[in-house]
Amino acid sequence: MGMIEMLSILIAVVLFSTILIAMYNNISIAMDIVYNGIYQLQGQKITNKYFQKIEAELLGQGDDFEFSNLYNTYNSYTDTETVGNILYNISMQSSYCDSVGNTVSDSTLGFRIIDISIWCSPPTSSDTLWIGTSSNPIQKVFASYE
Amino acid sequence: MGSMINVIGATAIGAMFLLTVLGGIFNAQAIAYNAQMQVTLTQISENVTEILNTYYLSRVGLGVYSNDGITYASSDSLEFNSCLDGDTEYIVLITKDANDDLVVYRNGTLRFGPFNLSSNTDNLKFTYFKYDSATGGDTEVASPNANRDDILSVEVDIEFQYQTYKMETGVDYVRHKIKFWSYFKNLYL
Repeated sequence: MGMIEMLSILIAVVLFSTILIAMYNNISIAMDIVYNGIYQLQGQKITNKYFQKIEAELLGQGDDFEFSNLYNTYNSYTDTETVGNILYNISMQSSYCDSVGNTVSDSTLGFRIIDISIWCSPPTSSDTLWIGTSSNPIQKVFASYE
Repeated sequence: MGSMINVIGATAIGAMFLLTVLGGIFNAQAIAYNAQMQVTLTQISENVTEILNTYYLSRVGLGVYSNDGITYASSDSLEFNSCLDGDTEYIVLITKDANDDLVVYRNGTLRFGPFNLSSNTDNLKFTYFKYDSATGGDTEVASPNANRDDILSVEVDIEFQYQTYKMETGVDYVRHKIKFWSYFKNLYL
């Protein structure tokens, strides 16, 4: 076998290997998308927990919790939750608002809006994964029953 | 003779190369299949937990007398009374069976499941909480069955599993761990 044939074969092997590498790379990207979706769904469940908790506390108000506590309790509130070795960092803000969620300075309207943003560091990715952000949080408006 | 050795050598090297390539392609296909199964498992388990949460757990104690809501509470089982969909009161039991499958019984009849849980020991775990007015937070209820009148919410830690394929061992599992919470609003009223 001549030198030219040998080089041709080597180049063919190298070129073919790039197809395999690209294939593994694409699968890896797809797996990242799948797992990030799972972490986002879990983050939404954590968000749902806090919204449920506030609703339940408001339903049971009078004994333990007043609507007026809502602003102070959940303004600049932080917490963490671990699920499957992933640490979720939770940040909450509360604001006075009107019935459609527009923030106002008037605290007597009987509405509060809660903002939640969560972030985690998935092991499959070097980027921080956000579920709601400080500029675009997951929000819910709560009204006073009083 | 020299050319014969060349041919044999080329055949051996070519065969090794082909085997490597075919193995790589096969492995890639197995990984892609597992990724697809992970998506399917995630879709199914999200649906299961959504039904558990919105249809069953959110109706704990619905339409029944106070303190008759929860009738049994342990780390892997929860039994409660509820008028699930009308005036009829049912006894609902959420637990796992002898095969480690998630099942939901209504008045002793299987109504939901079985769904394959993972082989890990904490594949279904209920943690119960009460409201602590002193701290404004949730406090875990110790000995939940003895103190079930104190229970106001539950944390459900659940892990589903699906058997799939791995080249080296032949068997692999994709798993999906979910933690969700349910506040028993009927018990707060």
